[in-house]
Amino acid sequence: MEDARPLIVLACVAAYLAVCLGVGIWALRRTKTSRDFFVAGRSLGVWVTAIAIFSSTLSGFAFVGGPGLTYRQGMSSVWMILSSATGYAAAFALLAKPLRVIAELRDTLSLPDAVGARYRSPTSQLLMGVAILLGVMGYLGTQILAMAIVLQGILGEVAFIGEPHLVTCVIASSAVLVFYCVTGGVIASVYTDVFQGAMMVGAAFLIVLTAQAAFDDGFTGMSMTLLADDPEAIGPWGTLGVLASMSFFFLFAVGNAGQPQVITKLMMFRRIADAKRILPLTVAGYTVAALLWLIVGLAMRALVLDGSHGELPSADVASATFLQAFAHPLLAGVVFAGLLAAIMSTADAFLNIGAAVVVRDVPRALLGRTLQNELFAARVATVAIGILAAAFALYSHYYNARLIALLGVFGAATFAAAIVPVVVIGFNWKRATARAANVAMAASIAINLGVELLDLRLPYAIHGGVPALLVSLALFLGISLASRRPEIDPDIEAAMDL
Amino acid sequence: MEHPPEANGDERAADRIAVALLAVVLGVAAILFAATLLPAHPAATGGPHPTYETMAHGGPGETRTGVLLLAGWAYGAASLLFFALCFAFGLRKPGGLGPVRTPLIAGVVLHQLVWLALVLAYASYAGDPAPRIVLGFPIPTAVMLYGLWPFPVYFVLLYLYFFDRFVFTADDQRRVDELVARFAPVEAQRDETP
Repeated sequence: MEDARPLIVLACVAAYLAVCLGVGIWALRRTKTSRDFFVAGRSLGVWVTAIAIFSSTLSGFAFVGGPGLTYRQGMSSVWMILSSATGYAAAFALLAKPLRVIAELRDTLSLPDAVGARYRSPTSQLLMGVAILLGVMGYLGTQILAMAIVLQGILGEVAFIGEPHLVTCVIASSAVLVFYCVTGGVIASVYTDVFQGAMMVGAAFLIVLTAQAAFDDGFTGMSMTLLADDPEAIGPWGTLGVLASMSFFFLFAVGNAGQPQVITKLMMFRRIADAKRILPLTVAGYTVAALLWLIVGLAMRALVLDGSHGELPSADVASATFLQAFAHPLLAGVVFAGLLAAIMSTADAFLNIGAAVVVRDVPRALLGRTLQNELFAARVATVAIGILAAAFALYSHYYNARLIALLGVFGAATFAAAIVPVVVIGFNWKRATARAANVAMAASIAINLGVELLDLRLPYAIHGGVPALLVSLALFLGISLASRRPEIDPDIEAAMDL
Repeated sequence: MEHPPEANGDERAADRIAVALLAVVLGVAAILFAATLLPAHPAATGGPHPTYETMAHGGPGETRTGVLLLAGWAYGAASLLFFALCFAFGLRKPGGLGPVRTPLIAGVVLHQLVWLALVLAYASYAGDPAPRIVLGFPIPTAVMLYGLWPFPVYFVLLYLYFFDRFVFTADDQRRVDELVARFAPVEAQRDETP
């Protein structure tokens, strides 16, 4: 069985990619209008929506970067996942009703579309579109690169294939991603998410059992080893300390409520009453899948400390090393496919959101109308964004490694700082003005860009996204409170009154 | 000349929540600014592990954290308050929070108590030469993983329980249907493209 490990892993990954292509072909027949392409005809069921929401939140970072951070820093980064249930609860309480009703009343197909309707402002729609598009390019680039690196590692282990060139892997993995996103739009995206999410939950559950079995005394044995080496690492704040951990908690809980791939899906489910069942399913699925972040990182750190495994070449290989050295080959295959699933479920959501900005929000804001054949334009835009992001990922990998990391971090922080005040609060508060929204979005883009470009490091390892979030929230709330109460269209006002 | 719309009682209540949110945001900024004025311990954010290059090491918990624990507690308490206010903002309807008000306040208080318990548990853990393991983890980490992490389930259950009763009632569905009949068709037709 051990000898066949590379082939078993490859077979699992190939089967997974084949399912994605199959879903793309199936969804092609169900995608007849731009409404189908961008919001699945607003007809998604409870389970589909719930799984699509949590699986698009958990990117490849949850399977690779997260366990790597836990391996390196102990419990510090766990605050990033611990905050998510709070973020989901807030997002549903604040947005499930107004966003879904406004989507129905105004036929909005994207988040900037809804922002334009709420604030009666093409400028607000354009600024939200720009903030999302900048973040999408960074996020998508990192996901495509991660996808290619994982594929390269898997193929490289198979003797008769040998390690392929990274460019080949970028082309192959992006082709699958772009194929099902072009044919089936968000319908293919969410139905592959269902498969991907189920794999992620199953993989995480089995990995937790494997990790527990790796120690004589289960998690108690693991904790004793970590405690003997460094009580702070296994203490609640990890090695980074209390303020860094709290900044993760604050930013990621707020940020989770402001992720466009999450809240766009709040415009897609069939009936408003479904929100009641979608929220608990989302929280449960996310929590189980996120256990991987916590357990693999801690287990691998303890296994290195107790001499069961040699030191890792880098913290980022903690997950892969654990799978190769301690997991059953079939489980390793499922988890590697789950890793690709986590990456692709985030990437497909961003591809769709980016296409909506290009073919819908920008023309609406600048020309005051939508394009003639929006569905065809959406498919062309999806291909173009996919190619651009892949090229950007390769350029950054070979010529400017900081560029893609910079845009990735910029994207996450900007989503939180731009979307939370303007959408999460603004769709519940009639006093919020378009001017306040525009200033908050512009400030969030400028501050996050400044922090990343100048490579500013805050004291006590406080996350760099916190200042932009605080400033944009303060500007949005302060300017709105100091302004005259704005006029709101009667249908939007009625939706906000519900 | 067009006059701005007048605020009714409900809108003034929403404004008060917005003022409270602004106060929390400014409070967080003040806490972080004050923390930067404190003399930092060299290992405040950890350092390299003495043996393993790919790991960080936290160092002496009691001395490196010190008064920062107070700032951390305040930051965490303010964050939880921020989410409670957001939750209240989202569940509020014309007329207020209705039956959700009391269980929501109870939840917020309990959430803050669990957070305080975690901070206090860490305070005694940091200087303890032989910390106890509970449910597989040291006590403060166990409070974090088994107390604080699942706590939002309380708010999820609140949402679930009050959904049909208050958050989105059958009357609300009827109002949505009326709104859709009145406003939606024109908009939908305008943007329907193949």
